Amino acid sequence: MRGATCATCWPNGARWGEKMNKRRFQKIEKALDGGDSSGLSGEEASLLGDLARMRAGARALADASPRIEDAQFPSFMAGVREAIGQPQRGSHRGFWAFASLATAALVVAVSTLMVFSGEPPAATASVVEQATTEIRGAVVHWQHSEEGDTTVWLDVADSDIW
Amino acid sequence: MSAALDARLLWEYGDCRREDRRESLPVDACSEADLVSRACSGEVEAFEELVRRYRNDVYGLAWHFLRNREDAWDASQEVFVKAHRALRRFRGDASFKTWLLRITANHCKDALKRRRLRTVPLEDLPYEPPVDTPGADPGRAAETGELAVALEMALNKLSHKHKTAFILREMEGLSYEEMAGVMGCSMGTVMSRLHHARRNLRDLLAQWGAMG
Repeated sequence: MRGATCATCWPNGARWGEKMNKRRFQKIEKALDGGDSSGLSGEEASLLGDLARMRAGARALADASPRIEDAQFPSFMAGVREAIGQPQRGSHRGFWAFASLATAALVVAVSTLMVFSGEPPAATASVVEQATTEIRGAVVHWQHSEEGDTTVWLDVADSDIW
Repeated sequence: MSAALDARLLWEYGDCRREDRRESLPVDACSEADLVSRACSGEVEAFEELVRRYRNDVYGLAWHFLRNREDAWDASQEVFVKAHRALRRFRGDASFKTWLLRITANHCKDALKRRRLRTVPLEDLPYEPPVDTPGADPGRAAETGELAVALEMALNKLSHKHKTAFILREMEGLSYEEMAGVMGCSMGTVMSRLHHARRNLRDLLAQWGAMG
């Protein structure tokens, strides 16, 4: 479907029966800015009138806008001067940005070091210093060999432990 | 004295005279370019004159966005402070007014984001109908006044960029080129945004029965 149908009424209350596409609307806007309005249809001329009324309303708004009068200017300027004289807000922003970046870089460096430094050496235990058992009547023995191995065995009483 | 010496003295004296005349020129008689140049070199009076000349352009735009006199006053002061700090970066590609209004529009956009501005009820709007002038058509003035109130409400329904385009064109009277400088976009984008603003406003006002 070309263009878009506006679901609103014309100022005279009649419902729009035709499409108002962008190109036609822009032709009307050109007429509003002083372009040739002689070739506009009745509906287009009506829309031009609406835009002209909107422009008049906008100018009324602008005219009614508050102003800084000459009598108010000294206090306005005093505020500007005072603010200019103060140290700029956010002047330490650069420092904190640098500190954040440095911290992030440190975290990345430490993480990388931990990842690529390899696994820690495996824990080894080859010397038996003490051995105990909770089995009543059993005795734990151990013996170290010359090759560095250690053998541990249990002497259990004759009665069945199960 | 010889003619050559006369010419030399005149050239040297003439230079000094021109420099003296430039320095003694009152700020209110200076052109915008001269004022900006003198303000950049640290002359306080030159910057104050710039503030004096453009205070209502900045304040008016800030008020249309923020819709509060005190907030617009504060925002306007902050805009001029920003302008003072950035004065050395002003290259003169666009007019000083355009540059100021660009700072204003961006500053107000940030302020609105921080404030989360809500729609003000119709009865709280600060708008007052324009004063009747002798010879003016009172019926027309009343109609325009009512439309202006409705237009104010409709403007608040627009997106920031569409509202900006409409305000700069219809209230501030900027050209399309100046608007492009303020909004930081191409003229084609400016015209497109203005087109959408007018269309949406027109549709809203027609729905409310405010078009007459």
